[in-house]
Amino acid sequence: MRGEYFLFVFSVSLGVLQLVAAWVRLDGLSFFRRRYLNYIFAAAMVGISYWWFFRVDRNIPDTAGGLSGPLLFSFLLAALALAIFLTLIISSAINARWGKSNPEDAKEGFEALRSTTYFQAIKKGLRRNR
Amino acid sequence: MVSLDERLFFLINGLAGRSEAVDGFMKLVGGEYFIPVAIVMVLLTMWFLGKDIQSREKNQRAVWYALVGVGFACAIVAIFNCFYDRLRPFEAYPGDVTLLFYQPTDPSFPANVAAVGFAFAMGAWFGNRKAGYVLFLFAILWSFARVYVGVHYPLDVLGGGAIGILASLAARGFLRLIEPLPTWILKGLRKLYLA
Repeated sequence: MRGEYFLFVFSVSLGVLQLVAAWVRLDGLSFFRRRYLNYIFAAAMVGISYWWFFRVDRNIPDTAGGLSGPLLFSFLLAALALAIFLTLIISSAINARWGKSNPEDAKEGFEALRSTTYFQAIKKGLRRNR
Repeated sequence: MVSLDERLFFLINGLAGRSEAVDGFMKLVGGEYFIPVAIVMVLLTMWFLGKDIQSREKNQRAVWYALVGVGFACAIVAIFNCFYDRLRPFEAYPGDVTLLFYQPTDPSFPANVAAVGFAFAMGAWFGNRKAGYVLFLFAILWSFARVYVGVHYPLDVLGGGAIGILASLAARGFLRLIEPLPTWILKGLRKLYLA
């Protein structure tokens, strides 16, 4: 149950992050160059994850294998963090060439991810601070 | 008041067991996984939303209000539970309640799920009205489902909802009180390209 819940939250988060990347046009976070592919990926991840997790009855007390409140919160946080971390790595790897071709800029925060990947933004930020 | 509460409970819980599809839906949305994960995904979306830095920061502050508000709400519910132990409907009226859920062992009043759901919604509402309304709808649905499946009285969820709303109001006040710490954290996250 714990592993399944973790996987459920992780895959839903991965889908939602791609939805957001396309919606807010943070191309540096996208797995795909075409925006409609992000939406398809997001819908598939969220839909399949919800269907897979709720295909069986999940109303189980924590005394019989269900998750207590603090555990629910911890697993949710861990799965969300892993999804964000993997999104940053995968999108940086996929878009490595694309990001480099963009001009250097001094944008801060998510604004930078419109034209560069996460790791390129970090690199540029470090270079600026030197 | 209590009698009205119980009558309303039996009116809502009386709907259970009539339609397999509606029962299944209520069990799904009344559980601990479906709506909470959906709420967190709305907050995750809010974290990224905004036409510019200012509007995004407003959304991100609202996410803080919601998260801290939920923490406050859970603490208030835990304190309530130390002093007041209202029996669950299925304990008070064994045999008369259509129970579609497992039997929780904590007190009936106030409803923890309502406190959490409304705290999330109120916190989000401060930064983004549309997201706030969506989360209020989730909170109402979640709370109603808990009455429908037979684990809470309507007064439990009303009390929980009030606690959740007040907790997020308090969270907003608290985060404003400890300024500039939240601003520093947001600026730090922005430096790391995470906000």
